[in-house]
Amino acid sequence: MPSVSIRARLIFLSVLLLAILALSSVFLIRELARVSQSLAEEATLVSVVKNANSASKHFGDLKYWVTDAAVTQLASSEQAADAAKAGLDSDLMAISAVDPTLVAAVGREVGEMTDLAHKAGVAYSSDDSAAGNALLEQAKSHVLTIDGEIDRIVDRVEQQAVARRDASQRGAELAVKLAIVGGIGALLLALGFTALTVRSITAPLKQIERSIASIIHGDLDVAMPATSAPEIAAMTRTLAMLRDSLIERARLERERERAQAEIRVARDAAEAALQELKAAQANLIQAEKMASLGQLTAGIAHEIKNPLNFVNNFAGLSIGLLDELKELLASAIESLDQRQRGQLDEVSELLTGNLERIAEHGKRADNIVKSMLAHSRGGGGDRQIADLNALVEESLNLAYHGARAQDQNFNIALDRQYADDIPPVELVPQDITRVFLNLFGNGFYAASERQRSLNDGTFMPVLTVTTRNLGKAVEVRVRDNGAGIPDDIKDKLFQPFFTTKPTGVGTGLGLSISYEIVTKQHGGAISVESEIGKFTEFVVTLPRRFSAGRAAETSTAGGES
Amino acid sequence: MTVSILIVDDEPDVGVLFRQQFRREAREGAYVLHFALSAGEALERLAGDIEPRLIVILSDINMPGMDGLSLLREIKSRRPDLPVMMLTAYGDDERRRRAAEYGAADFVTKPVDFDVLKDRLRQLHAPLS
Repeated sequence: MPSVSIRARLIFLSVLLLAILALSSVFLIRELARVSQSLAEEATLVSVVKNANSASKHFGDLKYWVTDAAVTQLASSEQAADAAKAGLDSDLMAISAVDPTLVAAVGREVGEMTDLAHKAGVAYSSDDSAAGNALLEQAKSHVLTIDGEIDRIVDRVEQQAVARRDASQRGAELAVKLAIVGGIGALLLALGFTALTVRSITAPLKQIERSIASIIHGDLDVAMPATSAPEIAAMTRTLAMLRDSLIERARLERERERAQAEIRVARDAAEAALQELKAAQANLIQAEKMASLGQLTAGIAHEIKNPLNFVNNFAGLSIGLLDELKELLASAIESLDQRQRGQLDEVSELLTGNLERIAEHGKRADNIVKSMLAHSRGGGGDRQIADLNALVEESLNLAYHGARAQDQNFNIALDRQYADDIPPVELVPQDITRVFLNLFGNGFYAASERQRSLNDGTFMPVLTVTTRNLGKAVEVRVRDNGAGIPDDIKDKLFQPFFTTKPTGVGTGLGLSISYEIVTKQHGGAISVESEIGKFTEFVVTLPRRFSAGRAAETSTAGGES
Repeated sequence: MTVSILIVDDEPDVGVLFRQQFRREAREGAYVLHFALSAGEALERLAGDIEPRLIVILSDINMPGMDGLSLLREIKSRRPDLPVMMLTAYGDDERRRRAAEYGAADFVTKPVDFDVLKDRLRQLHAPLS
């Protein structure tokens, strides 16, 4: 009964229970009636038995008094006989229902018997004893017949009474059993229907209760009772609406969170873009500074080069002239005394020494100027499609053997980490080689200096060179385990003339030139990472295709300015 | 046999330097050095008589007024057989290329290595002597 209302169900149940009650009552009443009828019949039979016995007794009286009256002729006997006859007749009347034919036969026999006794009495009164005796004998034979018949009636009546009594008893016992069985059946039926009805109401209610509990605990994925009584269906609908609104609310909440997350992502992206923009701007400013510094450097170099050439030329020339002077004055010097000759030699040696020093320092200045001029040399070289790993290896060998040539004690472990998927790269080989030579030279110097300053024999200088394929670009990392670079000088590294090496060892132009070559000429980037006491790593990124002039867009070099 | 060399440079000290460097050769009568401080002066000198015979012109490139490369073209148009050597502080490829295109006999970067220069001059002069 899926969609029947609870009220209807309860009414139905009540009606059903009432019906069961009524039916069982009717059944019991009927059984009772049957038993009581049986009892009544039994009572009737008891009275019949009594009448039959009474008839038997009255007949005994009758036959005595009839015989007595016939013999004595006494009126009193006749009266007694008449009374007995009247009693017998009434008794026979009472029991005639039991067997009317037999009773009627008894009546006739009694009549004949009394007639014969009466005739015998008449015969005795007329002293015809023989006739009287004969008549009495005839009467006696009737008496025997009647006795037998009355006995038969009594027996039958008694049998009937016994049968009736037994039937009544059995009927009563059956009624009791039926009443018990019927009662239990009715009870079970009533219980069954009640349980079914209660269950049909409570089962969906329990499910609703469970659903409410899980909704309260936040689990919205709950099932609703499918079909049910209208009252429960209404509750279910309400609960489903609540659940759906909660689901909707949760969905809106999720959407809101997603939107917030998206906003956060967008904001982060915007902030990151702003940071990138700031960094790009800083790089642009730095690049601009470097560019103007580079131009200035080149200009200064040109201006200095010509006078410097004269210094060097005249210094060299003067050394020759001094020798020539000594040759010319040889004979004159011979004529001088020893003290004067000694003074002359001393002055001459000082002059020669000075001129040599002028020439030496002039050469140094010339080297600086040559390096400075390399700044203005951009774009002149031939670009080629090159094998980066081969170029790096070539430069590394060149730098290593160069360093060994300068210092026999120099040694360093070289750790080559070349990627084998490096694509061909378009670059100007001699310029990029120059960059690598600079970076390797700096790395060798830093690691060796650390070894020298530690001087504990356990430190091993290591230079690690790593190449990597970045897809549209390639990356070369040059890492030394030197003393590291303090943060405050990181942003000066790429400025011309900045050097940490002792005077005369470095020009301060190596990284500046490298910066120019990588960013300006190749449109790549160069940056430095370092940790004091641990390492310094220069990272050179080169685009696979040549795109000079895009330095400002792609450069991340120059540290944080 | 004495021959002449014309050196064109706007720096007067270049003359001093060359005279000192070629002192021995001048004394031995191998070369007579002539100097011009501009391309214009060089062309004037060339128009007149240079004695003894001029075998080579050494010219700077960067000069006020007409520069060395223009002078080279001018000289080559007037005296195609006269060797001209360029001397310059700017040893870049572009200038080298243009100098070669205009017919320069040689391209020497400053500072000048005089031993090398003298070798070259002897090579220029030897076939004639």
